[in-house]
Amino acid sequence: MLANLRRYGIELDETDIKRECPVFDQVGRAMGFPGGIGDVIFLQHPHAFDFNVAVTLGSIALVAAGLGAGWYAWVVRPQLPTRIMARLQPVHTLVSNEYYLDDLYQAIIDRVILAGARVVAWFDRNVVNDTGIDGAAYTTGFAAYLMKFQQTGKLPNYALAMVIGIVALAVVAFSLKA
Amino acid sequence: MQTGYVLLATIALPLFVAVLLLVVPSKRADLVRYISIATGFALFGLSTYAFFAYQLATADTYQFELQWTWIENVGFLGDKGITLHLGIDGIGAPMVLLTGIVTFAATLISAKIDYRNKDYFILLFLLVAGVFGVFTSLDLFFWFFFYELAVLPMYLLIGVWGSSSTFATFARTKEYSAVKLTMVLVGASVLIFVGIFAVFVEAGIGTFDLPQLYEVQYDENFQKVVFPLFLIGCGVLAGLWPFHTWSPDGHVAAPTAVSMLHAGVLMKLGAFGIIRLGMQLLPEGAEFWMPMLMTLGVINVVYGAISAMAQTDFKYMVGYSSMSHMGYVLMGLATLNAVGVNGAVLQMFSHGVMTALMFAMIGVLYDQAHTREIAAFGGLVKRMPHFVAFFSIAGLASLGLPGLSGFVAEFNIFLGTFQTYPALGALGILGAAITAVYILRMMSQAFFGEENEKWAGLKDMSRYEYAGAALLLAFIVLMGVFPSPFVDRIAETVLKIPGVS
Repeated sequence: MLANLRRYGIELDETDIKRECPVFDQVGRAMGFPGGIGDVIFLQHPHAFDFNVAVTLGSIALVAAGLGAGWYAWVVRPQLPTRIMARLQPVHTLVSNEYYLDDLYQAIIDRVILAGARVVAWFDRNVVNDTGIDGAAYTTGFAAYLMKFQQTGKLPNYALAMVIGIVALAVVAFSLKA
Repeated sequence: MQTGYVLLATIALPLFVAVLLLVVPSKRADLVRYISIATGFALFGLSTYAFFAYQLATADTYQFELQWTWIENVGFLGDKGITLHLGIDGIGAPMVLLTGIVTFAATLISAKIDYRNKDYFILLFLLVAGVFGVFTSLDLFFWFFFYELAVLPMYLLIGVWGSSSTFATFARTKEYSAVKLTMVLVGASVLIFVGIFAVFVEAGIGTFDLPQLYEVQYDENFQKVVFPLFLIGCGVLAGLWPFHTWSPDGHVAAPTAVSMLHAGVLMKLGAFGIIRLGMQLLPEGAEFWMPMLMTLGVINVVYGAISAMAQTDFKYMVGYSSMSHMGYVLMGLATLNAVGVNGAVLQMFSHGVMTALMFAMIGVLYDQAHTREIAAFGGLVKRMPHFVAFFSIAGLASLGLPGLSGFVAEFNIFLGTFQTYPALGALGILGAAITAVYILRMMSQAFFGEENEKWAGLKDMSRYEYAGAALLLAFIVLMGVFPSPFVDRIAETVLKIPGVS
């Protein structure tokens, strides 16, 4: 795919990762990507790998605190969750319904998206097809119905129509030539 | 070895078999069946050969060329006035392959036709000859002749072998759908007819030969006036909004294999015509009108997808889905850049095999259950696991899952669109998201969930259906994981189209 992009002249920056990660690049080559992994992954502005001690220790501490709180609430004092639940009943309802996000999505799909889709489908069937396409057909049929009354059998009328037609064609032909 | 006789055979063989079947007694329904499937297989072989023997990186614009003079030096016709000129370029090659695949699958699926199957196959092969003719003709006269030949048998195929349907708020008879389909398409082809004569007169070289007409430099105003004739005329067959309603109604009325050919190859004739006649003949007209085509293409994508979401009938859903997917083709063409046009042709192939598989599967279900209402089913996976597997993979290809053909095509189209019309490209992606909604909803309603006891007697696919579905599936996966054979052929030719950057 990317080789094809290049064929169309779309330039992609692939040198960075080749320079930054030569080992990965060789792994990619071994896996059968002819240009190495640099053909697959692109970094516009590569950074050297940066180990942030504060963030790492902070997140480990948070995990430990969570485990500790869980152990305290469910093992050391198992009656505690029930008490908290009773006190914070509305919050519990909200949380146990996943913040009503699923119901919100379902309502949007049912009430908005599908209802809108039914309007479009109705429009397509009744306006585009039955009025537009079928209407054109009925108009043709109705025009033929009106014209059949010109089929009177009175030859002078036919002759008159022919003369008018010939004159009209002649006028058009001469005016185009002029 | 490249010889134009291969392409000639793809047209002559179905015509010959149509005549041959005339002398087969109609009581011998099995013989008719075997001859037809053998012909389908032979056409598949010929088109596969044409596709893979197509040479890359040669100086020839057209390969497998053959030119037989029919009429010349008479009246206003000069040397080589009207010739049977066949040949394929990198766009024609995958289209010929697609026709071969879908035709073979359609003959396999049609094995279960019992009612007057001889007449049915005669008409089917006439249609197929027309489709091959359009994809291989390099002469405007024969191009148009084959174009009409591909459309007209649909009238009888739907009118005789189709089915009428009654829905909650409206009804569609098969006669209504057959008449509408034929009238709209023939009406649109009048525009093409006018355009062909306009080009012939304007060029003034007394020939209908396309490669010669491509060499002529047409006046810019002439191009702007005539291009819409080709754009609308061919666009109607590609399901261009607002002239698309013949297509979903046609699907609902048509027998299974006719739906497969209708969505699988017939709608591609329209997009192919926009390239062959519109963009290649009148590049300046194309440049002028492409913003309009882009707008209509996006309308096709989003409007088709939203309409598909509201459908309760399997065939209406896939019918509107086809309209939506053909919108991607129109968007890709309208980008007028190499990536987008390349994606459009890939999408023509991808949508062809994938939608044919979907219609084949709907046929498997409908022939047993005699209803196509999505909500009437449930838990089909327990009774028909193979059916569900095939249908689901086709559906996933339709919503653009990576690893299947739809992703490759749509990726290229979006890439091309974002280079030219970023806002419309975003709307196109919205269409792909809506596609995911209706495909996954359909799968969850009909295939999974609670099993409906009413359908406990349903059987899985027959051997013929299995073979046809496996063939289509193979090409969906092939294009998804290994698109190079397609991209290599298409990209080379797309870059030669004037006006494509």
